[in-house]
Amino acid sequence: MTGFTFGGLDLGTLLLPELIVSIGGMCVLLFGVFAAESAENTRRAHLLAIVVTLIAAASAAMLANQSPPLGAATGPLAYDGFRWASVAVILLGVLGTLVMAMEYNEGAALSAPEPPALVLFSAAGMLLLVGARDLMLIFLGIEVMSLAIYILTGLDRSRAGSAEAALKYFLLGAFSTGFLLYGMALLYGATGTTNLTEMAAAITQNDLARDPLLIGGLALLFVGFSFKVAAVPFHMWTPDVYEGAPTPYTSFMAAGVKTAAFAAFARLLLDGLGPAYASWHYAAWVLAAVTMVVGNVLALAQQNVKRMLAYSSIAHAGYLLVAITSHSAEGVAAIVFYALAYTLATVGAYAVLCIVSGGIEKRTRMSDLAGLSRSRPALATAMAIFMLSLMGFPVAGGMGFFAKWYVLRAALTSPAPQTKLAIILVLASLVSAGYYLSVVATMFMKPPVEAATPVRVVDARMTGGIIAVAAVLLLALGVYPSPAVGWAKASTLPMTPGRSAGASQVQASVTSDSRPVLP
Amino acid sequence: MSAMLSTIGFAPTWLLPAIVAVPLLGSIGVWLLPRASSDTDASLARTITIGLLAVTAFFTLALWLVVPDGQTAQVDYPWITEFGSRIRLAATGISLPMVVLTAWLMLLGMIATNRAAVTYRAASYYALILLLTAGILGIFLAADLLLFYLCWELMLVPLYFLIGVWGSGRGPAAGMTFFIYTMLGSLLMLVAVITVAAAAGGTTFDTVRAMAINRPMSMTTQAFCFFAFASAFLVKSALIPFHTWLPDAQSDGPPIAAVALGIKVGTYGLLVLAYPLFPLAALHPVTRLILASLGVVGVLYGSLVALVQPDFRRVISYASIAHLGFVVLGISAFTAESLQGAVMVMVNAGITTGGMFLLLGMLRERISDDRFQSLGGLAKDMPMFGALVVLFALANAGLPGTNGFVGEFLVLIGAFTHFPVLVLLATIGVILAAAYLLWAVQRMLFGQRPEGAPVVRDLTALEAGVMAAFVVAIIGLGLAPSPVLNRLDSSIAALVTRVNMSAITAPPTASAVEGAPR
Repeated sequence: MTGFTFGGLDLGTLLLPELIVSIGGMCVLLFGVFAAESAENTRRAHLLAIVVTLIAAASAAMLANQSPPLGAATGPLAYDGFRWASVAVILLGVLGTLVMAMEYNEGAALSAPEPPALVLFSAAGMLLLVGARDLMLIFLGIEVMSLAIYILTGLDRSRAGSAEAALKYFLLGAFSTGFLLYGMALLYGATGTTNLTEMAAAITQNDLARDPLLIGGLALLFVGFSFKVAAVPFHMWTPDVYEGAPTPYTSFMAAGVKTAAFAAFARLLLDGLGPAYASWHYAAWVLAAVTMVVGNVLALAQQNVKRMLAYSSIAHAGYLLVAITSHSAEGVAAIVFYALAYTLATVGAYAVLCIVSGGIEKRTRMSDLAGLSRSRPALATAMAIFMLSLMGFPVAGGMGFFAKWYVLRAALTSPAPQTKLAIILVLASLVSAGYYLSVVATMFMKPPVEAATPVRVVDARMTGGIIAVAAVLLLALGVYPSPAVGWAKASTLPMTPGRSAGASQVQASVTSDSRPVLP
Repeated sequence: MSAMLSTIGFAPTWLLPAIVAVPLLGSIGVWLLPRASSDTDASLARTITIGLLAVTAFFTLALWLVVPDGQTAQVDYPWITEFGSRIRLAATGISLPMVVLTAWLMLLGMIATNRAAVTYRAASYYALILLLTAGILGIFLAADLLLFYLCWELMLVPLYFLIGVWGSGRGPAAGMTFFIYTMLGSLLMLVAVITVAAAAGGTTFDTVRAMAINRPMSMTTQAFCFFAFASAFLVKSALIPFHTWLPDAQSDGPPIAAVALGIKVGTYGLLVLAYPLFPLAALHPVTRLILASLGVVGVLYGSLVALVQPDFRRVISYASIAHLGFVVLGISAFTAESLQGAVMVMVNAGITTGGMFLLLGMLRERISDDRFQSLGGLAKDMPMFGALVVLFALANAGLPGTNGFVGEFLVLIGAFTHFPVLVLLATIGVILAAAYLLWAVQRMLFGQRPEGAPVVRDLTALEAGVMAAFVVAIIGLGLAPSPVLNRLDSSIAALVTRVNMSAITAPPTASAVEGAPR
């Protein structure tokens, strides 16, 4: 993989998955140009994109087992377990989205070869984002990722909701990007570098943790990232956009975008800004608490399942923030583990919605699920597993429980134990039982209502396959989570000398004088 | 303590895991049966389920017979090494009676519930019952905190579906209330479980109990964890004021769910986990007083509310809330006698409450409206039913010679030295129990049948046969409770010693040690 080096970096190796996905995306685009427009060729374009995703996953797996190449230790691109684990989770989401979209778009008459290419482009941005250890690359990743998603959101031109969602997402996304850029500029001003490793070292050496410029930059970054991961109070766009976008791409947003943005956020805070933990800890704490509570409470009132899942995804951002707040290796592992469980359950749930709605976006209300256990027992059972998994219920919810367990463990065993946050988390998930269970109750305990519009039966065998795989994986890892735990444990951020020195100093300062005051 | 936990040496090693594995794997098998809801499919699923439950029940009996008193049978498999968790099952003197009780109650309950009652999705119904059985047995046998927690929560899902899908019209609401209520406690317990696991570096009972003795947690942590554990256990056992879900769940769900809810998993957890792990908090005089008072309030309140219930099932629900009061009183006193009594009440309440719910379920298959106002004079049509109801009511009220007497008596004796006033108040509950039960019996069985009421069939031979087993248990344990008491003896003694010892060896957080009675 050598031969493609630039500025002392072996980019051919460092960027291999990103390159594969981007080039693959272009191939899919070209295929769309030259192949005749037909349903058959749309399917082929999707299949091509799926193959590209699998190749990218294989290349990431190969790189993960290989010693780091030239320039990986301190360069702008990370080469650590955390990156590969995030890449795996994201590609899993991409795979689910592509399969879902392939069959869903036929039903929804969105047949075109470009969407799979857009998904791949967006995925390239996500992969870049989770590998980025430089502010510039983080920004680049976010933009590449978001741009394609804006288009995918508005793909269904015939529906006003879809266009509205795209415009809303685009305007607010652009707005939040402004915050991000401003924050990055201030961070650069404070530390004189965009490289996260050097940033950590600069903060430690020059004692910049309380520097006003740095704090200002931190605040703006928090706002920008909160938009991207949909944390309260920057979550307003989420329900509308999630509801308006075509369902497969909603799943892409809920799983892929969230994981990628979160991974980058975690890397930025724990790696680059780790030494300034005392400065951002309180903000993350409040953000996590408010996000968990508001997300879950608002989800209770939703009548549309997509909207409900949107609010639930807000709540999950809060749970993940708890893992970040704990600021430990355990927390990093928890993020990865949680992201995997969340991606499996979310993709599965949206896949169920794809099948139930049969390509008709209006048919995603709660009442459309009534009596599903009679008409489609297997589908209803799978959906129940996904709901219980998102709820974090043991055994029946499978891996979702261990995800919560892991996050709670990280919070409680952190150098500065987050007991109050842990209690807020469990109380918030109690609230979540209210709406997840009501989905289950609707499917199993209510008689079916006659559909106003006839359900279009679409060929959804592969979507069904995705659902089955997700459900089985969740259940299996819920009984025997060791493989996933081991995998998550291996996915630590690098402990570079500057960072670990900084971290120990932070721990000391946290336990002694400047321990953040908790409400 | 480690000497007591001798590994299995007197029984085939497969016996212990098989007790959980048979219903667990069986539930998957039954669930995968053909789903065409014809009568033959339903009766096939039912036959298989009863067969598997019978196997389980006989396994538990075999375990009881091969494990000598004072010994612990234990098996151990690796599980999640990263969390220090193992799949470890142990049958101790305290858990064995509960295990035998559970397996037999579920078996008899299954036989007693008429197959006509379940026509809708029979395979799922029976699969859930097997899963429920596996979950409850797992709770009693688990010797690992994480495994215990999984089984604890596993029990919730089948019950939720059983109540919601196969219950009466108000089933879904009752199921939801039940789920949310019990989950509140469980989630708080989860935080405490993780705290304990992190402090101990593992989750097996051995590890965490060793931690409790050698490196006890601070009083504050213990207080929080005890509160969290107790809230899970007491909500699940429906102690006042967390009891409101129980009568709804028991009267709106199918009879088998009511039977399962009558098995006192909550107080079992309180006894074997909360006390040994957090002795400082548990034996603190304030905790004891609060728990004992809640127990007595439960006895009195449950009894008084039972007086005014519109149907017999709700009377029994409140009666079981009153029984729970005795259990909690016995546990909070924490003397050898009161603990033996508490476990006896747990066992006996399971038998009498379960039997009563099955009887009332049989009545409900015959008469749809079973409120007192539309009943009366049933003893004429159903003499056998009437005789059984009277016997069960007397056992419920704790008449000497029935099983109900032994436990309550031991609790009152054992707790008297610690809480004389509360014990005196609790005895009022015994009198009240006689009042509400006999009044309920009178309204249902005697007097005049309402105008134009059709003749009701008496119990069938099968139903009577099942109930005969309960009668044997009630009279047998009433006249000769010693097999169970002997079984409990050494385990309880070891538990009391261990808890008191760790309360003493704990770091001198002054007030706690001074206050803790020896």
